[in-house]
Amino acid sequence: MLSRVAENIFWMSRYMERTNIHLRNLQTLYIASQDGVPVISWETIYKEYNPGQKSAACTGDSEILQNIFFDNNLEYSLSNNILRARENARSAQDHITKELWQSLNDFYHQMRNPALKAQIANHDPITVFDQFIKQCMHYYGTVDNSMFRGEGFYFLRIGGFIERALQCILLLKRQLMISDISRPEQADPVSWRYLLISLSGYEYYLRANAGSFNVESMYNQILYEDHFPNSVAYSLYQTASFTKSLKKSNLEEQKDSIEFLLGKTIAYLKYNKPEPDTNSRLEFLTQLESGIHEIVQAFDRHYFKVAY
Amino acid sequence: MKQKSILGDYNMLQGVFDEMMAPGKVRDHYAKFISSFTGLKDAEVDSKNELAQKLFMTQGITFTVYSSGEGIEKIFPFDMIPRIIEASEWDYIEKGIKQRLKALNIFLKDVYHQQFIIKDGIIPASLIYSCPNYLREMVNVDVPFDIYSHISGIDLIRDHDGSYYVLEDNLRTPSGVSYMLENRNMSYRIFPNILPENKVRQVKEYPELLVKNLLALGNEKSSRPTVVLLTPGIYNSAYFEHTTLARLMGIELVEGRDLVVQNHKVYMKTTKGLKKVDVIYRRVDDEFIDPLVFRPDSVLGVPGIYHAYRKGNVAIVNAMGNGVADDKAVYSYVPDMIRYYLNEEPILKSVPTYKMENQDERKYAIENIRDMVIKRTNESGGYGMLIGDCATDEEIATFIDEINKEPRQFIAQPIIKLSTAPCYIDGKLQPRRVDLRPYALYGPDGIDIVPGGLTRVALKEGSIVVNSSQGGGSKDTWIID
Repeated sequence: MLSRVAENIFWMSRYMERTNIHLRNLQTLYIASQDGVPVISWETIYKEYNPGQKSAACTGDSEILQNIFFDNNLEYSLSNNILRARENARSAQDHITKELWQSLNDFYHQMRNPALKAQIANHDPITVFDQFIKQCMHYYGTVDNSMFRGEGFYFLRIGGFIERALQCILLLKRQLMISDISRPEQADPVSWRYLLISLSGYEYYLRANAGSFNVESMYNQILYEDHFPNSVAYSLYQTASFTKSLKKSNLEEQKDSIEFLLGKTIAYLKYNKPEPDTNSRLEFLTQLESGIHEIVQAFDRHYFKVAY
Repeated sequence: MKQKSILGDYNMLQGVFDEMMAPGKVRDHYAKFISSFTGLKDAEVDSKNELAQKLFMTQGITFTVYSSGEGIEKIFPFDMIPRIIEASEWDYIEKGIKQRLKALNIFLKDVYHQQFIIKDGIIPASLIYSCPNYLREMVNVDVPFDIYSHISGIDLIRDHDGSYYVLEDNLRTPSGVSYMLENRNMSYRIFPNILPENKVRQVKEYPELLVKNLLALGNEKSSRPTVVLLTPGIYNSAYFEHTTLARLMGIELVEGRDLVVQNHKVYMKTTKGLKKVDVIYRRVDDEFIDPLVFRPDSVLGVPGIYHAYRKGNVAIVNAMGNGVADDKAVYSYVPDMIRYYLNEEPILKSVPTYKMENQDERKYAIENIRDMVIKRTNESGGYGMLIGDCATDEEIATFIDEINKEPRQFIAQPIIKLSTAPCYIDGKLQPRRVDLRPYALYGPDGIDIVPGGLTRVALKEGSIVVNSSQGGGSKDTWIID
């Protein structure tokens, strides 16, 4: 497979994963605000999406959500994510299936549908969330059922799981800043519950910890639970597994370096227990994040941007 | 009753050949389709028409215009009513195109080698050497199987008496074939069962025929040749076509930056290292293909590819330098080429062409400019063209001025009354001007022409320009037995 195409597929998958996680997180935050327990202010969220201040400031949940969804001047808006995913898919169109391309293309056209924009303005963002989340599910289903299990599929999966791990870390970091779990009296189990809901992990949590609302357990689930698909550990194990599949057909020196870095990062997650205070936990997460970025760089070096 | 109303509302243009209607009646080869079509309810026809437009957009059968930042998705307008040609007529077209292509290929071989046609005074040397698409770099370069134009799109039109004329030979990188394939897919959806009932010939073997020819070119180099399609990238308006063809042929779609030349051999950069490339179906124009030889500012091509080609280490399809054969001034000599190389009379007519560098012809054309179409010899897509009967005095004056300054850059042709075909517009059938671009594949085993081609249609009322850039659309072309 062409290096450029492999990179396009990797990034297409990252943008789609990012979109999915952001959609679910925003939806939960919106529901929380409607429940009367706002986890974080919309203005703070808006700043996260608009780091370069390219887009004009705005206020109110509807206006902010509208911009986060549709404003192309907003660096990390969902429409920009989809646009980038689609541009990457366009460049790799001969290596993804026609069905997958059409699924992405549909998503793109939905993002440009003025009726959906109006729906947010009319205070009905849930319908818009539902529609886009359904489109994400369509994308995942199409990947699973139509993509040939070859290099393209492996790069797609690796990109997705790397992004998922990074997004989980970002969400955890934000959550730690909101709710200090080192002091149980200050920890806010409600906001942790919403975080788990946004990662589709609350039902799993209830089954494993019936009746108890322990924020430490919630934190551990997102970080370490290897049966929970939206945990950092699960994402890293899956990345390692798909990298191994890739290895069957690739050069020795490529896989060794990446495997080593993956092993190092997984070992760091598994065997390093940070001190229970928030700063140590944040530092730990930052280290983990750097480890994942190193893995991405190794993929760049060995697969995507090889110098000849 | 309904048939009567549809046809009663159909106003044929005076003095113009209509593909569907003979005076007073529907032509025999359209009769079956029209009877099926009139059996549909009005609302059904409208919804099918709407469905077709929607499908093009959702399936991404679009071209993107990048004007400011994000691109704007556009579809190549599709008209649901097929253009129907009967088999006997198609056989005649096929023979004519094969004859023409044979002559043009010999001409390309000749003009880049011994130049007998110039020495024998059939074509003036000045015409060839003044052609900007004549590449001196191709002189004495041997191409595999002596085939230069592996893929050609020959534009045909019909005059008022129904006779076919060749309007243009596209021997460089003719586009539009993916629309031929997609239009057929659309017809299947819109008119279920009607295609088999009409015994419409298939077009879907085009990718198989093309890849067979491409592999044949590489067989000398490798038992399993690597074939790639070289695209200028996602910003190219024909990118959809490139991806479609690559996917249907099962070959890699590469950009210039994916290829590298080492020791005069071309390699592609893969996740497993460099992989040698044997055949390149390029959709990048000559001037951009190698910045070391042609345009130095090109980022679309591959540095060093020309020398790899010259050494015979890679086959490039179509060959470089074909532009000299489809130059609009050289076009008028094609009948002479057929007589000279094949010793045959041309089957397909050419539109009479006045070369502006010839003083007498220029004088005649300028005197009769209102009855002429003036074209730049080196432009296509409906650009650089003046249609005498609908141009303003000012536009005519500007063109005359330019012609006098650079006569070699212009030709004049009498305005041909392009035939019309029925189109479904505003809820009824209306006649619109059409041309036809059949696609011919020239391989080591001979020439194959997929039955049909792309019918382009001038959707604007009164227009005779069918190019997509000028408001044209397309329709499916049915060859029926």
